[in-house]
Amino acid sequence: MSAADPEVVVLGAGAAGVAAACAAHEAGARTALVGAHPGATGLGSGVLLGGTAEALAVAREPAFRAGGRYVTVAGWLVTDALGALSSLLDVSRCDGPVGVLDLDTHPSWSAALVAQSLGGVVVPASPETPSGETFCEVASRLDTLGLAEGVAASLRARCRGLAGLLFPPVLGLHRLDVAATLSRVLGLPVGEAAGGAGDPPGVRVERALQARVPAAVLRREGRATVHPGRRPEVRVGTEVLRPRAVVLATGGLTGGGLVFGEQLQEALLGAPLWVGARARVPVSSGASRGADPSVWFAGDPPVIATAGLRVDGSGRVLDGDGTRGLHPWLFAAGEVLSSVRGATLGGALVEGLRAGAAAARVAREG
Amino acid sequence: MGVELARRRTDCDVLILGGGVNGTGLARDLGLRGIRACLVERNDLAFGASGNSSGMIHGGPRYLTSHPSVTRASCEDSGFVQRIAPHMIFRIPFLFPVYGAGVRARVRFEAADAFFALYDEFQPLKRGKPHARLSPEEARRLVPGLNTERMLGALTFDEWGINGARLCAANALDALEHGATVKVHTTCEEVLVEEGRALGARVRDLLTGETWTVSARVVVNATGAWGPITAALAGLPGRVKLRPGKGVHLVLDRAITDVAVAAQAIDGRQIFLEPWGDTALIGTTDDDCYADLDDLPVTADEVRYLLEGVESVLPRVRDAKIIGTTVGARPTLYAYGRNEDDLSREHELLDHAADGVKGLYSMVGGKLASYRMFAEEAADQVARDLEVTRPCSTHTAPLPGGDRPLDVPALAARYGLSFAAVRRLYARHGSRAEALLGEATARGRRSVCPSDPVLACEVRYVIQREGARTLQDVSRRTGLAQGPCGGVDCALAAAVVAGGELGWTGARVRDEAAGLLRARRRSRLPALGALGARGEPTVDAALRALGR
Repeated sequence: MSAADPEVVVLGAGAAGVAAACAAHEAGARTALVGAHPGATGLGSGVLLGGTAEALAVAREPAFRAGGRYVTVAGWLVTDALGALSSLLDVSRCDGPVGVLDLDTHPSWSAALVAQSLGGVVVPASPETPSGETFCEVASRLDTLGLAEGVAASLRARCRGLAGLLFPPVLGLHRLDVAATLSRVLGLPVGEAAGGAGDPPGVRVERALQARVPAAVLRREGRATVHPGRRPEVRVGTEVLRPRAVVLATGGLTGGGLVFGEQLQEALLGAPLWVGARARVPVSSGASRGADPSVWFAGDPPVIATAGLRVDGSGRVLDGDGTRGLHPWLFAAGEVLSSVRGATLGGALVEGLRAGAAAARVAREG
Repeated sequence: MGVELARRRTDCDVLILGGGVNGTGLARDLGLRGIRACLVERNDLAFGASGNSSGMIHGGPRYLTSHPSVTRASCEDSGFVQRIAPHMIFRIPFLFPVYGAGVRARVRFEAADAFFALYDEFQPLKRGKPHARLSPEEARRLVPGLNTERMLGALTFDEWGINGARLCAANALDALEHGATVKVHTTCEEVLVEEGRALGARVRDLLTGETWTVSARVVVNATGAWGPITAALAGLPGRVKLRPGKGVHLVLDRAITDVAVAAQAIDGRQIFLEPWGDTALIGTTDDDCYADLDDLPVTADEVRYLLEGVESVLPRVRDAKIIGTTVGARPTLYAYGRNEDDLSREHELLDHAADGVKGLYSMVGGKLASYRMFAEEAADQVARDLEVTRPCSTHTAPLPGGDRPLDVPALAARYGLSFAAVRRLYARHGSRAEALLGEATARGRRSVCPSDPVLACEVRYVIQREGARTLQDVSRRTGLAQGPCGGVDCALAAAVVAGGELGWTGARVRDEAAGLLRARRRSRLPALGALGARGEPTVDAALRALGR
């Protein structure tokens, strides 16, 4: 067999897909990872919520660390974190008052508000600290080699007596070591607050995860189609792959994984959708032609956040009765699964590991 | 009666219930006459029909053949509004295509031509241009992509647009500067009546739960579609009768055309698409409405009805994305056995002395375009009761910011801001934009939203000066989060700025930001197609980062 003839194909290269590819590869299967476009993974805050410590096998140091207590831009103290980017300030490790840097940047950063939530003190920025209209702008300036050292030195006097220094989420856009550099020069824990959708920590989570994919895993970019059968056929562009197992990690249904047609179904394989314990999904009645997506966003949490495929303990996709596997070779992980409260990054990693390992098993055993 | 009224010590002269265009217009009119008004609003200024209309200060062409005097008065008043609020108003030329073949269609075309020729007589009153008669080719040049199949020709006529929410805010601001008090999120729980006279009301602040009594010499019910409920709170159930008509608009992500285009919906009703800044509005539905007025729903069927109607005239409307809907209930006057479109949009001032309660009035009906006139009528009556002789001056005294134009490019250059940011600030605040920018710090002049410029100092201004108390109040006054981003880019930043002004905790800041994101999503939902749904994961991610 050639390298282009993988045993496991993982569709979707977000958190769940990366975890599945890693697990399948480590279990000894020739693996391919197909990504179409960035999804929810890069929109995260940098904190891994949900899941178990098992997920940290993928999210390994130095980019991530286990456990901890973090604060978001909006002053939310996240205490139930599985882990986080190591650039985030773990306030549970700060033994004393935490300084919050009053950096001149996007108006969503209010050092006063965050300090109030945290019980910290506001630290005025030094003239050497780069400012900018958005977090990404500041982060990209801090990527400049040697700049972080100068910034840290300029802040030394202002941080006397503090047990830690909290930045807004700006500690590097491409580089992963800005926080460590600041911390080393200042001689105290330095980190950033968790961000929101599109902020630098999410970008770095995406980057750190991609860097974890073993070089032996075949990478393909583009939209895939799957033709089921006794042995599935996966097409990416003009290329045809004939794996022994497939892992669907295509992300949230709203990201394009759902067909809003006459019949509501998962887009790639037409797999049945579940909402909670039932495989029946709400469709609007009346004059609507086809399904009405607005119904999917109703409720709290919205139906869309909990709807998706259902899998057994090994990650195998179940049929509409929930009793048997839909195809013996089909596994799924991440946001494409139905869940109670919507997917989390930690959960996606755990599900990915499980599905990847199970898919490799099926591929090996034939 | 007047002497007796003047002697009583009260919290204010006139208690106005309702912060729509009628209530704020009345508060301003009274303020300019030196009468102290107190206005309480259950939701926010312009929360109902006033902030969700087509935003037109039109000349009332629908009354042209039946009541030409109404058209004349409407056109005159449109001219007055242009004079007092030139910064807010913008020209909307309408294109009215006529389709069909055969004699009957040609007669219809000629009749429409004659109709607009008649309307031309009134146009000078509101600086409107005379109508034009266009061939299908000419119409198509004006509106590329226009469906000219079976088109006989088209007619144009001129109207003026205005942002209803800003109109209410400006009236409220002027009232405040003339001694009135204005409080939003404060509802009337009971109109206090003793010995056949209204003495004031017991009100409750819905955000804090606090209740208190406001005493007044005169009480005016200006609660629009809520009018019958308010009358019941004065012990007069059934004395204000309305047939509220729900009106829905769609907001598109682009302007699509330079001129408004009229179209016929599937049931023959007249609907239209109008350019609205960077966006476009499609409106309007009109259906009897008995839903919860504080929480009106928009259905996917209403969206389809509007879209299909405009699509028949302008197929490329399908290329645009719907980024929101608006909904309001018109306070149309009650009539039995007529269809919704034939109901009167006229107004009436009810004196409830006839029902046994003196000193209580209800402003019933009305429309955005004629708000000033209606407010003048009501204020005249109140002034007579209070024996105040100073006449109305709302038609000559400029609204706040309407006194002089600003050199927008110069201002933009002075502060290193984009032309668009300052132009929009000027459209919302007129000449006040200069001081607003001048008094802000460099950090305050930064936009809270990268995609739609709303400056931090404007967020603070509408809280300090225009009475905004929640993030959604700020959104209504500034247009925050009403663009394509739906708040993903700006809700948190604006909540942080607003929170600094209003003393919010971190938890409250997150609640307000999440509340705005959810409200914007709710406004998009009925129009969310499969493609539109693909953008929603960013909203989920934003909510997740807020822990909500």
